[in-house]
Amino acid sequence: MKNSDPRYPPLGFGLGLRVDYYEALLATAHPVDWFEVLSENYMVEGGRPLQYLERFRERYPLVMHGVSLSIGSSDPLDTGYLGELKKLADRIEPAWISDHLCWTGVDGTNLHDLMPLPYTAEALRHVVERVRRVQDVLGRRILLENVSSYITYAASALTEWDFLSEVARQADCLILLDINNIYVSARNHGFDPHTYLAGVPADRIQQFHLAGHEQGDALIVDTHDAPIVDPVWSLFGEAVRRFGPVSTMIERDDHMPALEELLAELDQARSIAGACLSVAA
Amino acid sequence: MSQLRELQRAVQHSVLHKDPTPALAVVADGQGAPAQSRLDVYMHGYGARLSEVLRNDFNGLFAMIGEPAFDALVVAYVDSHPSRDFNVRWYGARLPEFLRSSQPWSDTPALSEMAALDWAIGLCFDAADEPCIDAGALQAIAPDEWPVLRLRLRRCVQRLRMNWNVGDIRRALDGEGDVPQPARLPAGRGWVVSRVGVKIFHRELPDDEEAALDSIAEGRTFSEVCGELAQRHEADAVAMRAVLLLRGWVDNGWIADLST
Repeated sequence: MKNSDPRYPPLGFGLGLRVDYYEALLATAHPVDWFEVLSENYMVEGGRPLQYLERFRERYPLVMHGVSLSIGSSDPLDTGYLGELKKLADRIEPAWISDHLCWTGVDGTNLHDLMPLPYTAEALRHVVERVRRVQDVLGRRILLENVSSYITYAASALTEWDFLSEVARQADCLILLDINNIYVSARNHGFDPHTYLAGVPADRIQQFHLAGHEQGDALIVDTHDAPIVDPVWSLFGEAVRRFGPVSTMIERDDHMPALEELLAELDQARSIAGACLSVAA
Repeated sequence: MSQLRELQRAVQHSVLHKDPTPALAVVADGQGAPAQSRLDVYMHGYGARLSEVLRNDFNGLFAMIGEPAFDALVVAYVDSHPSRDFNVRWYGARLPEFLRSSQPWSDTPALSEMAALDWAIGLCFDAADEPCIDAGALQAIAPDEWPVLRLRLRRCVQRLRMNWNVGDIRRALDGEGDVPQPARLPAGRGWVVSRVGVKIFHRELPDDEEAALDSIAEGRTFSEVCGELAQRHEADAVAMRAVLLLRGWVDNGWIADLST
C-alpha cells in the first residue's frame, strides 16, 4: 500500500448526513460538497434508511464513518461487523471509510461508547496489527479518528498524538483529525492542543471533523449538540495552515438547528480555510 | 491475561455496574477533576445512550406509560441486559419479553404487547426491499396450478397476536381519539404491520384472515388455505372470501412471490 502520498483526493466541505435534514437537502441544491454517513445506521436490510442513502449517493460523494470497529478491543475482531461494513462499502462505494482510535467493549459486550486506549507499547502493537487486518479485508486504507476523552491511564507511556502517529505510520493508515476532540481532550487533560497538531504527520491527515461541545463544571463533554466555539475555529485555522486543504465536515447529533445554521457554519469553515490558505500561499 | 485486557475489563466493569472501584485502579489522577468525576462521564453516558435508543424504538410504550415509568423500566432493563450487538439498533429486541416476565411490568400484560407492536413497527421500517407481485401475476396462474399454489409474504409484513386493547391504545396515541385504559379483550386478536414505500401501516386482522396468513407462513398450499377458511365460512362462500383476501394482500404489496 505504499506510495508517495497515501491520501485519497480531497472532497471539500461536507456535513454529517442526518435524518432531520433528508428532505430539506433533497428538495433543493445546497453548497455541500459531500456527506459523511454513519455506517451502522445503514447496516439494515432495506426500507427508508437505504432508500434515502441511495438518493444521496446519486447526488453527492459519500464517506462512511463507523463507531463499532472497536479497533483497540482485546476481544477478537468482529468479523460479522467487518462483513457488514464491506457489504455496505461495496454497495455505496464511499470515497473512504473511517472509525475511531478506541475500544467499545470487551468479552462480547458493547458499551456503545468510544473508550480511550492506554497509550502503551502493547496497545500500539495490538492496534497496528488489527488495522492491517481490517485494511486487508476492506482492500483500502482506513482513517482513524482521535476521540474526546475524560480519563487517562496510569499505564500510558506515550502521548495521544505520538500513539496516533505511530499507528498511522506502522499500519499505513490515515488520520481523521477531530479538531473539537483535540480541544476537548486538551482542556480535560491539560495538554497544549497546538503541540498535538505539531505532533501528527501531515501526509496522513485525510479529514477534519468540527463540532460543538458542552462545558461542564470541571470537564468539557463532546456532545455534538451546540455550535462550534471560537477556540475550536481558531484551532481549525491553525490545522489548515499546517496541513493544507483537508476535507472538512461538521458533525451535529443533537439539538438539531435549522439546516441554514449548519450551512452557515460550513460557510465559516470555508472562509477560515480560504483565508488561512491564502496567507500560507 | 494481557495488561490491555485487564484494563479494559476493569473499566467496563465500572461502566456497567456504576462501580468506580476497578477502574480507579487503572485510571490516572488528572488535574482539574478527580478520577471519579472523570469516570462518571462514562458511567452516566452508558445508561443515557441506551435510554435514548429505547425511547426512540419504543415510542408507543413511552407514550403509554410516561417518562418517569419509562425511565424506571430502562434502568432495570439496562442493568440486566448488557448490550451484546455492535449495532445498537438491536438493543431493544428483548424488551417485550422482559416486560412479559418481570414484575411489576408483568402485572400489566398490555405493556409487553405494546412493546411488541413497537418492535414490529421497527422491523417493518427497515425490512428488506423485496419486489412484490401485482394483480397480473394472479391472472397468469393456470387453473390447475391454483390448488398447489404457495405464496410467500414479504419480510416487511409483521404479525402479532394481542390479548389486550393495545391496538386501540396505539391508534389513540397516534391521535385518533381518547386513550383508553388497558383492558383485556374478550378474545385474542390478530394484528398486522406492513409498509407501502416507506410508510408504515398497522391494523387488526379478522380471525379468518389471520388463520389464512398463518397457513401461508407455514408454507401451505392455496388449497389448504381455503381449507382453513372453510372452517369459518359456508362452503359456497369460501372461494369468494379467498379471492377477496388474496386480492387485498396483493394490492397491499404483501406477497413477495408465488410458486407451485
